[in-house]
Amino acid sequence: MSAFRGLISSLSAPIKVFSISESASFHTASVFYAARKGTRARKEAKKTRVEIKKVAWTPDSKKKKDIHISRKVDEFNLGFSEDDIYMQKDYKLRIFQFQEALASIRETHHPTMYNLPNAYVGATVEISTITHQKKVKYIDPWTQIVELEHTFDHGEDRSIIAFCKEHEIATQLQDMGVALVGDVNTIKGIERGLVTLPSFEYVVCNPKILADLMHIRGLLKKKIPALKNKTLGVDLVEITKRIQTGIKYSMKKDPKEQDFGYSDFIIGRLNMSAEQLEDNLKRVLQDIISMKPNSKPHDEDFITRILLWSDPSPERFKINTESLIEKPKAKVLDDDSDGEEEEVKVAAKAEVA
Amino acid sequence: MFPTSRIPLMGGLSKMSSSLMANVVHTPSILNSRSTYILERARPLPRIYPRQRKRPYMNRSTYVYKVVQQPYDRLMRQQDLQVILVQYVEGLGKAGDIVTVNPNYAYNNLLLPKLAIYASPENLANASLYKKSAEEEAYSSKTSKTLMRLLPYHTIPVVLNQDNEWTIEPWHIKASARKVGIHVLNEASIQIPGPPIRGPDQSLHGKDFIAIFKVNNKETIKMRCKIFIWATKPAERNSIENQFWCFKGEPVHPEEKDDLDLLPIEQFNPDKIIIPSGDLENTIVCAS
Repeated sequence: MSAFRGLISSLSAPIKVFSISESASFHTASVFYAARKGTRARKEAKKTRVEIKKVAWTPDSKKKKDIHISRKVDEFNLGFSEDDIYMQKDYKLRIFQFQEALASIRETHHPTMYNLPNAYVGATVEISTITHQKKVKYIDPWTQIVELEHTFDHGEDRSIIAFCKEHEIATQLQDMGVALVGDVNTIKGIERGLVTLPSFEYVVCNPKILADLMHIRGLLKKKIPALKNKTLGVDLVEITKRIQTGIKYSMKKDPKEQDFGYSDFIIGRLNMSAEQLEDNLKRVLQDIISMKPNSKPHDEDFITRILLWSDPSPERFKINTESLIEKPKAKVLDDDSDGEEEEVKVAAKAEVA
Repeated sequence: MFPTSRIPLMGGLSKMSSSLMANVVHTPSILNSRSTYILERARPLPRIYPRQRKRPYMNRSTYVYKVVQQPYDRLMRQQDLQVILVQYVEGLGKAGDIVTVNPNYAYNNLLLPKLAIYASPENLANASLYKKSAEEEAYSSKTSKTLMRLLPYHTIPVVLNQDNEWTIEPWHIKASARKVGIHVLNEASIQIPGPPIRGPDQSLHGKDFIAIFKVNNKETIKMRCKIFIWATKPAERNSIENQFWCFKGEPVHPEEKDDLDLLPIEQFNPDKIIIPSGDLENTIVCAS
């Protein structure tokens, strides 16, 4: 009976079974040969051993807490007030027109109150640094000096050194108050130690003399003229004028908030007219918008908020951006206009033919 | 009795109740507890061929389900309720206003105490009957009652110059209130009772006076203002007390003393020591 059963099972399920001797002849894993003594020694030398340092125990109360104060403001769940008297903390920040904000600064700095009619007027610009790209997700911080029409005394140290071969430009620069105007000979003198460099913040030069300037690269370090910093150019007079009188702003970023950039800068004095101050602010905003990445969608705001302030008052006025920033046209409209132009060109060609 | 086998049993309904409500079509809205889960098979069932008689082999994976909808999902959650206010409710609205609120809040705090009624079609048609004229209404807006309660706790420090001549005008108080975080849109709504206060006068430093605000041309609020004499040169400036807005000063006008004593004041917090760093503005920021 059992034999019969065995027969049936062998018929129904013909399974091929390897013998033990057969299976042993297969290599199931890669074979590890002993590494040579030289390579073994080299690999061991490469390994970095982490030494565990013993740290003395400190109670939690005495540990330094890194308190991160965020500059971001989220007003999502707040609204605007209905009353004509209200407390700011319960509502969204009140939005001022530029003229209105300036008038309220002039109230607090009035001779009967703070008595500071010549105070600095500052602005804060906040941007979103998201680029919507895969490799470079956020914009890096930058510093720039913007050329102005309505100049003012900013009270900063911006001493300049200039290098050029032309004698006429050198005399012009000296009249403008540049600390040192150099030639090829002065560069050699600096290299030998005969001429001492005065204290300086900016170095400006012509592209013709740049090759000679490379000899004292070690002394200038990061301040060496470059196209990126707009300190290298043909028209040196214009560059020095911009550096001496322009508005300097630096867009900063908190390392913990990579998607948010901010910069505080001074746009003028309180005794200037409102139009002049507004024009100065517009110049800086234009420069900031020029850094906007192309990958950003058109409907997303690059500049998220603008505040106006003046020390020693603690107030910060949020400003209506519509009058200050020109809204970019939608992409679809641009394509249409291009198409029309092409059509016109084609028609003109046909006429010529 | 009605045949019970025809009725699909759902959720928390017992057999007894189902037998009583035999002809009623059962939907999730009738259930007294929200417990309907909608599920979906994680993997498809094994295929059944047309002439197959045997039941297909089902292993454990056929009994794994995904949850499509839970009782606490956004779609299944109770939606906000629309009610019509019968009376003025602080922070919500006036009588006759239609508001949408959380259903639990509406039931416990509005419908039970009869401050509001359901926004049924009949009630909505008569909603305008509950509205009062501007003169009859006790408060001008939904937030004005809160303002009347809370604003008097704040002190307005008025910075005035030591070197130049001045008399206190409404715009001085408007600008000083804005620094503490109180916006006054209409300058005409500020009143300073009593004879005009003139300076420069060093003896006025730290003294209090009353300013009267009119909210929406209706409610009047009295507020405490404190004079701070400010020298333009930093060396000559008056020193600043810790949390000076928590202390009552002497009145500028002796007639106002009774009114000033009645006004509430923010409580001094001994744990929170604010040492101003030479400037007044830091202290003001903390106060707001």
